Amino acid sequence: MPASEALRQSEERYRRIVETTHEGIWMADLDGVTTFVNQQMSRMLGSTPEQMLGRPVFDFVFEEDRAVVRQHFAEFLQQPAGKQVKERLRRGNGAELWVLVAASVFFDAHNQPVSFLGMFTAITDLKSAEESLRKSEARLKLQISRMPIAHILWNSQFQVLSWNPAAERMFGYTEPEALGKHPYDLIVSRAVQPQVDDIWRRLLQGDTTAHSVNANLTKEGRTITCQWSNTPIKENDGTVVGVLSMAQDITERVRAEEALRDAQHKLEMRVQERTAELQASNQALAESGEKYRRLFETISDAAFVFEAGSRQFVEVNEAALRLYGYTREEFLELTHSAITAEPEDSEAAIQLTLAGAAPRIPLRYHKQKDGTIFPVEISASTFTLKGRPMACGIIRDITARKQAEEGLLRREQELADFFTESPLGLLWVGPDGRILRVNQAELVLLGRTRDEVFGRHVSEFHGGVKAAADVLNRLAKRQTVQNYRARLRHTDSTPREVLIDANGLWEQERLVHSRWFTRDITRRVELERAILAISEREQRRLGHDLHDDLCQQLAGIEFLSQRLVSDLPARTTVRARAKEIAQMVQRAMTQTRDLARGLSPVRLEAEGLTDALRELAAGTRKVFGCDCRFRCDPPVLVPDHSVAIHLYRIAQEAVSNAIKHGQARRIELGLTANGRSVTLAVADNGTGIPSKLPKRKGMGLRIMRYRAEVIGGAVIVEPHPGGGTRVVCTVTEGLLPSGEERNTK
Amino acid sequence: MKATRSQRTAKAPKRILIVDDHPITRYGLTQLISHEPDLLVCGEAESAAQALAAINAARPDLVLADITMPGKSGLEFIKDLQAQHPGVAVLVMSMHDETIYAERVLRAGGRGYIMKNEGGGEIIGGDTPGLAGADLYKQEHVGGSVGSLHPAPFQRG
Repeated sequence: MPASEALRQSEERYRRIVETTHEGIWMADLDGVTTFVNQQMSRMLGSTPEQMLGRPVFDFVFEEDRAVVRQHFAEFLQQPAGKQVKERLRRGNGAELWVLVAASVFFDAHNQPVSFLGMFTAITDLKSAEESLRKSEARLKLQISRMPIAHILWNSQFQVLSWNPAAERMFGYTEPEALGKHPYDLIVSRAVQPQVDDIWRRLLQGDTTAHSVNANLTKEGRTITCQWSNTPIKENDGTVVGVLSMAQDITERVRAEEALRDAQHKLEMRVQERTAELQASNQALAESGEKYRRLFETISDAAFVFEAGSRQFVEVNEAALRLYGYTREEFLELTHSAITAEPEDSEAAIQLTLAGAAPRIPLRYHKQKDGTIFPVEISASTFTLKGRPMACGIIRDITARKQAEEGLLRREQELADFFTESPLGLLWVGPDGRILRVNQAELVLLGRTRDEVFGRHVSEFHGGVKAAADVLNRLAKRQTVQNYRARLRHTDSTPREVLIDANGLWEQERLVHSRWFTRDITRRVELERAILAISEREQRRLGHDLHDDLCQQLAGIEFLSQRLVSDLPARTTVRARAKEIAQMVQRAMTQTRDLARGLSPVRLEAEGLTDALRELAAGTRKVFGCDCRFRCDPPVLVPDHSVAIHLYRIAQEAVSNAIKHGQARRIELGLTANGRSVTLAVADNGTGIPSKLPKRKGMGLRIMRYRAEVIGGAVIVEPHPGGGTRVVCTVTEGLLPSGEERNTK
Repeated sequence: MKATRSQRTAKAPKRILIVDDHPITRYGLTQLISHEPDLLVCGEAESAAQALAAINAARPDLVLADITMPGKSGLEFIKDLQAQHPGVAVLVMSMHDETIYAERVLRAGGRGYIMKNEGGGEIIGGDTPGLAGADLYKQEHVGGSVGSLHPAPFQRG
């Protein structure tokens, strides 16, 4: 049979198929595998075409009917067309469905059967089915034509023999446009041709599995993706005379897939971007690390990093190398203990740092390679590098600062020392007179501790309340006090003789405090007193020698002279001369006695002063003829000869002044005791103290004052209420033993 | 003066013990007193202790003592002598002014106070009546007293 005839027959069959497919259409290959099923067919079986495609036909045949069905298939092959049998099918829900089957067999070019086509009509409603057959014929056509699956029949030259409406819609070409055309001229782009060539080659060889998914072109030039199911159509001898292709436009699906792929790609890209970012970040990090490295290297402070566990250095900068005097290689061989001069303190600080304290160590002594020890200030921190704890130290050499600090400290200490250790007593006194600061020398002067003095009023420590008040008063007037004679109260009851210099510190017209410089002149005063005492003692000795020795001898001579006078005849020149001698000797004796008394007016007895004063009064009466009296009731004993002599000299000076300068006619001397003090008073009725003292008298007053100071007393020269002058000298405190002690002597 | 002296010669001379630590004074005094017919220096002592020891042998009627002596003071000596020999009178002589000691001497029991610098005439009486009898020592006045070896019936001011 020629090919054209075969095609014609095939076309006939095809047409027959189309004509007969009123109801269910079911195609299966020779193995019974469903290759096509239409909606009607699947609906009859309670299924869907998708569920049925690829499934064996026998899945829808009851077990007991399968042999019969096989028999029918065999009969179909024997009688390929027009055979109609009655079959029982099994619906999806297990129910039976009786159908009439009009079966067809497709044959290949060699007339070998390749597939079955069955047209199914449900017998249960056979009549209505037959009746609707005609109606539904057009509908079926319409349905097939509406099927989204393009059916295209190619001849063996790969030219379009049939082009259904779905194909028209899918590819844009009408059937007339497509008929006779090769797909390469219609719907296959050049790029896809090799793939299609391969498929076509396989189809011509009878390959029934030569399916394909490939890009196709539409008439409008769109590229769509189609899934092709191709079935070679063979003559009975097996010659492939054509191919039935069914194509599904899966562009959308591909698009979806592409979109998915695209999304995946984008995701991939994103991942790549992210990776790139990470790499960039790593790079930046590395650069940043480099920055820190550079900083680490260029800071002027020494810096190093050591491993927390081993204390082994792992990083060190140039400054540290310079500071410690090692090469980098040497340094990195060291542990931290090599650079500290205080290993225990350093260890404690490192442990504190590692515990997270991150301390700043203001002073630590470190050690250079050559052993030089120097002070440093340390800032420490910790971090983790590659999972290992590290400690970082920034070291600042503070040798210079330390030296400066030490210098400052030393100066402060020197000043504090100067204050504390000054041999002068130093006081800071507040404007209210309270002691703000006191040095050791002052404390020694007072015999007290700092606590006993601090905050107390300065007058509490002065022998005379007036002195402190006087100094404070002068300071308040912005005066400077110099060589102010005062007496401080010492706890051992021996007052300390002092000279005070004081000045105020003024700020904005306000006295902040005053500085009192106290010089202890006790020793000087004692020395002066001792010198005076020696002088007095010498005078006294001289006086005594004159009085007790020379005068006695003169007395003896005078007695002998008197005897001589008696022995000589009366009224003779010789007797007169002897008498003259006796008188001269007597005068010499009297003069010598007076001289002795002047040198030693007060005898070494407790009553010496009262005797001497009484004698002074008597002598004044006798010599100057003025009314001079001495009153002393009750008796006052002054056992200290030094005090006695000075008081006597003061009285003598006062009496002398009263007569010589005051022209006094009456002088009263008084000596009284009151507790531990003795008061000498000399009052006169003279002309009083002149407003302008002659130099000589001023000198006399000053000597009186000096004598009073020497014995720890004070002299007051004041106008006497009854006219004239009153000189009062009071000697107080430990200078005089108590009355009882005196009496037992 | 001579007449006075001759009147007294009938009586036994008054025995006088001189106590003074100065030998020249003792010598001068002895010469002065020995010249008087009614006075007899019966002994000399240079200290209070010597004087007290010499009293029994010398049997003085009067002790003429200096107030200033080594060891005991003149005043102490008067008290001791009064206690041990109540009948012996003491006359004190001194270079010191009478205002100092005269009163104390008289209180201690002394019969009189003579200032040496007044000269030997004052001691033996000089132009005043000489020393005789038992009542020649009462010479007192306020502030002190003076006396001489001879009775001195007047007061000195």
